Amino acid sequence: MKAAFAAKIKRSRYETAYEVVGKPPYAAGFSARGFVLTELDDASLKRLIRRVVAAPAKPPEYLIEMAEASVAHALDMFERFGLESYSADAELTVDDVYDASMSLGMSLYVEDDGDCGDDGAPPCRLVAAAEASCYGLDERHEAMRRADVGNAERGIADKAAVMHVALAALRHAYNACPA
Amino acid sequence: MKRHTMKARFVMRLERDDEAGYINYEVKGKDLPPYVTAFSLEGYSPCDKEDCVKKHIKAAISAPARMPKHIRAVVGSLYSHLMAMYKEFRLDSYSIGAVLEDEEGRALGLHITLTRYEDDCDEDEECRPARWKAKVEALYEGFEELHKLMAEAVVGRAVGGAAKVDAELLRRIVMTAARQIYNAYAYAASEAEP
Repeated sequence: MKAAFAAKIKRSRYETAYEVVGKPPYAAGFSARGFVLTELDDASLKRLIRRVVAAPAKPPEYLIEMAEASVAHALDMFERFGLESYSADAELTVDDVYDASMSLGMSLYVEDDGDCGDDGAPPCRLVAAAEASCYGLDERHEAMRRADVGNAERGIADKAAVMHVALAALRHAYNACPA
Repeated sequence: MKRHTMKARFVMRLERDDEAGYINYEVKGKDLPPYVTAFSLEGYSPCDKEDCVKKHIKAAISAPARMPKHIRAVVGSLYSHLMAMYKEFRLDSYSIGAVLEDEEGRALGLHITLTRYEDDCDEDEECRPARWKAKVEALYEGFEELHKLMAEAVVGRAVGGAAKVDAELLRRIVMTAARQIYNAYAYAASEAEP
């Protein structure tokens, strides 16, 4: 079964913008959007969107290490202190990409759906969300990932699942960076 | 909207919202330490009289108490991780935050941002060299009240031989903001006791 995505394109005299949403069940929790301040022909735009969605290239090791450090700290804080939410947001200049900066924001929080955790209701869930962006002088691309990663009542998140969310968002955004 | 001053260091504005039954307030720092570039406290309390909301504000501003050990540990861990990330990776900006809930569901939050600013030297303006700025936001959200505190400070040069974040100064700013908002919480909790 292949993951499915829906893309919306908006063109104006000044920019070409796109928005991609992943369709459940296989691509749920994914979305991306961005713009380029030039006119892109259909083929170039399709290549760009495919790069964002499929994320073929691996980000440099220091970006991955930074994401790992943030995730490790978030999990540690959750397990030690029983937090309601945690967020970390880093912005840095990307060494091997001309004139571009990247940011990675990740958060881990208890999803409050109103009655979770009450008698007879299912336990509250922990949710990890990550948003990564890459922006250059005349373009910006953002990718979002979100997933249920554990049981809030036991205060334990699935480390591999949280890491997957953060790295996936980073990878989608990195692949949209201007080459 | 009335205008008050408090010990000549803060300017306070109070506004009564009769429909909601709250008094909204805003406090801005005036006579601040030289490294602090901005300070504000804002929120609302379910008070009938202005004296009541002034007591809430005073509890947050004067901040003499120590925080309980587990809250100090959360704040210390956020600060330490922020500094570790600053030292380890070549970041332009890093922010970190957490929200803790007490047993009754009242929330205490802290958010710290460390950002590198480029110099703003041009012909028309006074030239400020590249610098590191810290912004600390702390909040206490009770069932019927909210107190939000913001402090901003220059915490180091970002160019030249002495370019680095003053870790001790940053720690002091973070701990003070956390302690101030904890005091607002502790005061509200003590008021709520039968």
